Amino acid sequence: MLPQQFKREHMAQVLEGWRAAAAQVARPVAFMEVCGTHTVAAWRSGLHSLMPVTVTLLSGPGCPVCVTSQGDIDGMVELAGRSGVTFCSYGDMLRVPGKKGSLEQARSAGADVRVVYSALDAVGLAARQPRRQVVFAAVGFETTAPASAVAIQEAQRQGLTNFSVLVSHKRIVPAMLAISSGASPGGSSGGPSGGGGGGLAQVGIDGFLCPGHVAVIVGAKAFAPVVEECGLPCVVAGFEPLQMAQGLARLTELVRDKSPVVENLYPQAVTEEGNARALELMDEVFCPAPARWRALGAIADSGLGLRREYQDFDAAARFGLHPEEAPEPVGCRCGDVIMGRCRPVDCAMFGGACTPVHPIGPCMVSSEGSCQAWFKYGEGLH
Amino acid sequence: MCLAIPAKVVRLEDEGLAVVDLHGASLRVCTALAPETEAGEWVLVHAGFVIQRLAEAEVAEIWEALGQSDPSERGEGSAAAAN
Ligand code: SF4
Repeated sequence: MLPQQFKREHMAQVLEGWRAAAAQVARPVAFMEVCGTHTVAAWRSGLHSLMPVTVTLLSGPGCPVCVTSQGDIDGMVELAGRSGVTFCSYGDMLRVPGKKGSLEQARSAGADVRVVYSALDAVGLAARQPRRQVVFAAVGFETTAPASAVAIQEAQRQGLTNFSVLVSHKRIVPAMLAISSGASPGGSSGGPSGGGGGGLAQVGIDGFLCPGHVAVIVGAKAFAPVVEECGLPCVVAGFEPLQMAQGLARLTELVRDKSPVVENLYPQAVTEEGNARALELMDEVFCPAPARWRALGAIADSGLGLRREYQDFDAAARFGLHPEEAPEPVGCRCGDVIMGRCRPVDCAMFGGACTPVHPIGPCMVSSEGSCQAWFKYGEGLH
Repeated sequence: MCLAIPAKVVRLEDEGLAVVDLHGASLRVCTALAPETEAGEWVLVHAGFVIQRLAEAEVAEIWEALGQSDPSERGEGSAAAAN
């Protein structure tokens, strides 16, 4: 570990270089992180208040709980309530409100809802309870999807006919492309955060701080299409304030130098190629499929579907579930928050009707959501 | 949900499983995504799976980045949820 004194000096150097680069750009720039862990780390460390005044860091659709569409959440709650079903989910999803309540409320009403730590825990439950239909809510980005693939293969190996998966996985790069296809480099003059409502085109960003743990799986090179198709620089960064500051400073330099490239500043955990075994397993079980995101709507190839050999494990087909798109909770601006179009404090319900104890939207439910991060760490900063 | 946490591998078990020490708590994880995992090394654990092997020198920095003190300097702690 670096000594604190050294770190403080290093941080001061990074900030100085960053300010100089920002001054040379001579216009406001905005970067987007697409990782819930970055969202929390930035707020907890006070990074927003250290940045050059012309630089804005937006939180994009990086919290898997927050981007899960309202229709998918309604589908989970509906399925959890069916008789004979044991519904397994990661803990973060439990309190997200659907139109007929949350999974937690379904459990209070008698549904068999279990929090699992690992997808394999759900397979174990299915093996131990052959008379019950065990459904696993497969939510998350590429960090989590390989685990779902392993669980499905394990269920197949054990010949379990009472295990299935409600797939709501998301792929981050297609979402980044969808966001940036409306954003041209340099298109952020005037600052994006004042943009108000409107479409994707109004989210002007100049580059992405790429998600470190997704990148462990997909590799730094997975972000190349964002550079090639949209001309936006991408920097993979770790989660320490210094690492994030270095990443953002580097992005500012790349904008200044008009040099859109992918750079990996988190080589401690991220390689160029990613985790080959995880990618292989994911590819054996899943194929790219369209997916519906909260705030972004349907995006081609941004989700995962089960390959033909694994269709038997599709819970939606097994239980005749047809998730429909449903409106977000009345007054909740999670969609705008996810897209960086408004700040959590711009929502009339923030801190009043909506708090982490009584959340209204997923951004306040999730420990990685922008509203909860702002509520915990951001009050008074802006 | 994308949070991954460093843990030290205590021992390997059958069927692609390993027991890791996660901030003082003992946890059984799956090594199917990193089959070369060895006992005694540090790994990144996410949702019950090893997703990456780590060099020891990198661990303290990652811990610190996650806002926790380095467990090797504390010798006690509670299980951290990786979701
Ligand atoms: S404060 Fe609550 S209601 Fe408002 S956008 Fe955030 S989660 Fe939704």
